[in-house]
Amino acid sequence: MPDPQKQGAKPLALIGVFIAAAGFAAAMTCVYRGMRDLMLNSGGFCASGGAYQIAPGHECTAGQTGLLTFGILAMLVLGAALLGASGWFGGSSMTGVGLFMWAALFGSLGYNFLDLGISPPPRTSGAGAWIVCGVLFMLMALGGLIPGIMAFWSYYKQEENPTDPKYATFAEPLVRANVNFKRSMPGDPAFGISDPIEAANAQGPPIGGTPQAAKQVETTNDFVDPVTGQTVSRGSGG
Amino acid sequence: MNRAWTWLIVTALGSCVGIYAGIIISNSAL
Repeated sequence: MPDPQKQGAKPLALIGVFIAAAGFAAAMTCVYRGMRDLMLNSGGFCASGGAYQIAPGHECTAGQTGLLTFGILAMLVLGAALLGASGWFGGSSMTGVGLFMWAALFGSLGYNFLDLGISPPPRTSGAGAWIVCGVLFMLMALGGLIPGIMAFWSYYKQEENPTDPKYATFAEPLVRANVNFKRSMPGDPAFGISDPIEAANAQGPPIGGTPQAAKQVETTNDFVDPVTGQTVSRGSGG
Repeated sequence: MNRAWTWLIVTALGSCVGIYAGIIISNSAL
């Protein structure tokens, strides 16, 4: 785990968080207001006219489409920037900010659906479906808000107790194997010995002299007993 | 101060500024 004292305040990261949060909020406000204006004045959808389009009353202004199109694009870019700046400031555990952005987006748009679904603008049909959308959006917002709060709380507790082993990041092994392996194969020259060095001494020099010779045994298709180390010739047949 | 609080305050301040800017932008667009 990185030492919190060494991490410092990271003023540049904080400035990045501020700018990205402001940009994301501005883009989200544009989307919210563009959507609301479209629902209030254009019946909730855009149609530019033509033989097979329901155009009257649904012609959208350039402001509405511009706010929605560029607002969504800006929100994606600035949301990623906020995620990156937050991660730079607080480490990987700060990435829960994405859940807050999710909750803010679906919460604000869900409020539009619910508010205008309950009291729809005049000459609007199908506002009941907006209530369904609103409930769905609110549930999706809750699905981000609750784990977002939990992630932030976890980060808060981690910052309060940085030495708590609960927040160890496995930079070093926490558990090591402590197995007392005892040679137990009958016929093994090192039978009953658990120390690997003693076991190697008890087995004596490798059969056939040098290790190169042992390799040659393997390539001659002979069988080497893994317990006793004896070479058993398989003969030429078979 | 806990860095979590620092982050939260900076993000909240940025969001307030952003919402204000968003209202100005959308007012001029609509």
